[in-house]
Amino acid sequence: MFERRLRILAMLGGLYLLAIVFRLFDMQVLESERWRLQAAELGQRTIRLTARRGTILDRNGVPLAEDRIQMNLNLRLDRRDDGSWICAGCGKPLHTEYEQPPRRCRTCGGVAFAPGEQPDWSRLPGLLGITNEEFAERGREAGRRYDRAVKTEMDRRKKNWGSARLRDVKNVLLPREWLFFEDAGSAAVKEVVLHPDRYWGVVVRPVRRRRRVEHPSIRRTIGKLGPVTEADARKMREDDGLSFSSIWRMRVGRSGLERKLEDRLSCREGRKVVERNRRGEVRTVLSERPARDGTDVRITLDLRLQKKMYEALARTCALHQSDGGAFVAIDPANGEVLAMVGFASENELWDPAISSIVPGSVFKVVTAIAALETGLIDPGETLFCDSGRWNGIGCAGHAHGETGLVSGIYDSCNKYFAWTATKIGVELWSDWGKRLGFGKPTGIEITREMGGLVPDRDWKVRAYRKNPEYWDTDAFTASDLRQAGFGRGPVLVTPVQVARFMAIIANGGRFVTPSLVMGEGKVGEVVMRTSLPLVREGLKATVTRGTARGKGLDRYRVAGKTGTAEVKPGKKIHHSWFAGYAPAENPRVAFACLIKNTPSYGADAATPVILAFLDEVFRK
Amino acid sequence: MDWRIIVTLSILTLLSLLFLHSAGYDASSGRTLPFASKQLVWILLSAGALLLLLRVPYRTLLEHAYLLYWAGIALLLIVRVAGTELNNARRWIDLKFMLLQPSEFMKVILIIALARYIRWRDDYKKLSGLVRPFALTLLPVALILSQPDLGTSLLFVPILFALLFVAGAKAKHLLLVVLMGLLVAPVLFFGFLKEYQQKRILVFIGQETLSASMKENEGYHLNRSRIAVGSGGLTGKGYSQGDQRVPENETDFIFTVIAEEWGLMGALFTIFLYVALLVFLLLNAVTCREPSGKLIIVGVTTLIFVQTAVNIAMTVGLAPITGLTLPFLSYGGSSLLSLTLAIGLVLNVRLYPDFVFKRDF
Ligand SMILES: [Zn+2]
Ligand SMILES: [Zn+2]
Repeated sequence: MFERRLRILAMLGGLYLLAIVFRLFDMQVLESERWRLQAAELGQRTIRLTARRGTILDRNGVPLAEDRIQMNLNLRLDRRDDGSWICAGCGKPLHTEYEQPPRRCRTCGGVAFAPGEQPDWSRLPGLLGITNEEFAERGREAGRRYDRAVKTEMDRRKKNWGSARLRDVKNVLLPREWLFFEDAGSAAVKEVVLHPDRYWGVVVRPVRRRRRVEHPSIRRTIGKLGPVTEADARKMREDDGLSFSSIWRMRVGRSGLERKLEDRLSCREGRKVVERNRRGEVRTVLSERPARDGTDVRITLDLRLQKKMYEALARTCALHQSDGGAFVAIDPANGEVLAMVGFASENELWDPAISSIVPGSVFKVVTAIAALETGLIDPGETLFCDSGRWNGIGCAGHAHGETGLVSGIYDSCNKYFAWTATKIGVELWSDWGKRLGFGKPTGIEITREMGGLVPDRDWKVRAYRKNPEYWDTDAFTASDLRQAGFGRGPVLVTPVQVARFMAIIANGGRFVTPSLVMGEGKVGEVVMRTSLPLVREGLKATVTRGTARGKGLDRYRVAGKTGTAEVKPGKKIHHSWFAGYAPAENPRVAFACLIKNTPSYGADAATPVILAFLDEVFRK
Repeated sequence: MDWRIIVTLSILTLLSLLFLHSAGYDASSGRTLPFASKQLVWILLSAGALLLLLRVPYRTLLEHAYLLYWAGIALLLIVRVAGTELNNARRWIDLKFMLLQPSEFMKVILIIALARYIRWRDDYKKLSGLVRPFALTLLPVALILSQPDLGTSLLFVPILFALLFVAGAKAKHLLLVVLMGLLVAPVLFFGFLKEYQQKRILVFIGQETLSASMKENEGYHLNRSRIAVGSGGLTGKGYSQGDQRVPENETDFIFTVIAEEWGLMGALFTIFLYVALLVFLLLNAVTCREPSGKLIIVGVTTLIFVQTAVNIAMTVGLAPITGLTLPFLSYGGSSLLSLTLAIGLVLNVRLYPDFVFKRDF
């Protein structure tokens, strides 16, 4: 009886096991392919391969803007008050009825803890260099941000669909990690990484951040990064086949060098689709698109010199009650911009170095060159300048006597150049202004560079249409030309244009295309031929016996031209200029300096800045 | 001493350590959780307990069978009142160094108690005589079911049936009880099971047509387990090269890891080990001359068979997911200890062959 019945039981059991074996055979051999596909789908991971944006270096290799990996500490937050288990890995609740500790999360495989099991974070505040109180406050703040996000999302869902489940909001819609501490030191990071059991809930996340030199002498020139615009995004998607999600994560140059050098600096994130085993080791690589790093770019500016010049400019502006100014220096031999600083005491965003402004007497040099190159005046012919007015134009009370081209430059005689301009005529005069680089941006690698203005007949027509009350006629009158001839009226220039203009004179009349990138400045065809000796003579005499004499500029054998542009007629406020090059015989630097809205005249205001620059350059 | 059993058990234990190590990898922290080394401690403790048990003739245990039974019931009651609650279930007593799960030991105690009860009677051959052995079984079942712990509680009934059957109870009576059980099943299903337990069963029934959301929620374990087993193929992905993460794969789903990493070959090897163990146990039941010894061996064999078969069936979708561990392979101290003690009972019966009671079947 017993053994017979035992045999029956054993047979029943055997049958059941046989059923299991058949099932296993069915699943693992016959249907294996189907499960393998599902497994592959689940086991696939896309790994982002991060790329490095190129570094902007200064002339001496000092990094001005570079990508840095910064370690952020994030908190995994999920506040549950029903006492159930939550996953430290992903914050999801666990609802299985039978497991024993340690519990495993069914979503991410992480180890879970109950709200009662507080991890030990006591060493962390010290390592982060903050007090326990600050530490706790940061935790609370992360929690509050989380709570606010929960509430906002709940409200939104309730409004849109009339109801919302807290669980859905928490599990699906919210980020699991919340920033807790930015740029943590290596000691704290090491502690967290080495003791995962102590720091359940704290995650180290490496984040790529652009670090730039924040000194005001160079900040604007470097520019900054921002999100991709929609048009750019579409283009990138077409060109590089990037997914929108990775495009939206990208940051591209939005201003300054960052934008102008975007092609060179920009990098492309790569992607790798892999199959991994449970240990996270890669088993097969399904597809890979390598990351592309950006290239580093060395620029012509020198951070130390920029800072020096900014200080000098700021000091000088304060001394002369000016609200701002600019200094630009260019190497006449190759167009490298050696220094470019703008200072504006009120408007941080506005850069005077690349903004249009009235040139005043500096522009007389343009008229002089036009006159000599066209051959429309005889350089020996003179105009007698008395203390009175000539066609309404005076020389600020000075009487320059018999004035020729050279003395007109060094004495800065308004009447002489007004007279000369009328001899040249508006077409040729404005043509020469444009040939010498005025009226359009120089093209240096910086955003928002303005072009200035060289007035011509077309300009007058447009100006009259725009503002008929202001102008008597739409024709370019002789009066207009006389005013423009000595740099007043509608003429507008930028300090960069003026510095480039001086560089052209300094290097023997060849056109200069300035550049902020090492080796990319250009010196082109000759634009000044016959005018060069006399103009140089005039510029040199300005310092030795003209309007800039006795200021100490002759110490470096500077040649140049002063300028004092009235802001409003009658008011004793000017834009004071000095532009030139040094040394006069064998120029190595060309520069322009502008001090805005100052009661001081020409070289008086600008000289200290120029001397500061020349001290730096020639002291060595 | 039955060395066949000891050797089979040792191979199973080695297999257990091997795959607990593989299953112990924790992706969120990048560490391997020390399942294998912790389990080794339990293996040594269980071996010690086994040796201790062998020093006590099973006659002594049988003499105190009811005392053991009521002590077990008392522990289950203590759990009801003062047990440690984890995950909405109250089934552990916190002993500070371990979490004691009385229901695990109740399985072994019940085998002794039923052997003692059936040994001295034959009224179970009448229908009315079935009431008391059923009551003896259903009392702990009810207590364990209320913890709630569906899986463990369902182990007790097959043991009772197997013992009554081999002892010579009328087959038609047992069938009648099964029919009655089927009739009240819907009542139990809707009246006593919690919502998630109901869902588990529904998911099991409809496993071929799960919706995407079911696969991510109620059907998650089942779906993931089947994917892991199925994708293992004939020869598997290689030791520790599995890529599927089935939760609790160190406890209830350890078989999944074996089937994924060693494929059908590994799965069959594991099943073969169990078959060998069960056959060796049954051979002892045949050679044993003493009825209560026979009953104890049949009870232990049934226990190990049901737990093994249900656990493996659950990983391949042939049984609903109930939370039964795989004997000697799954991670967990209480389960290993109680099953080792059960094996100890069998070895004990073999160790004292001259111990013969007056009456025989
Ligand atoms: Zn998780
Ligand atoms: Zn004059």
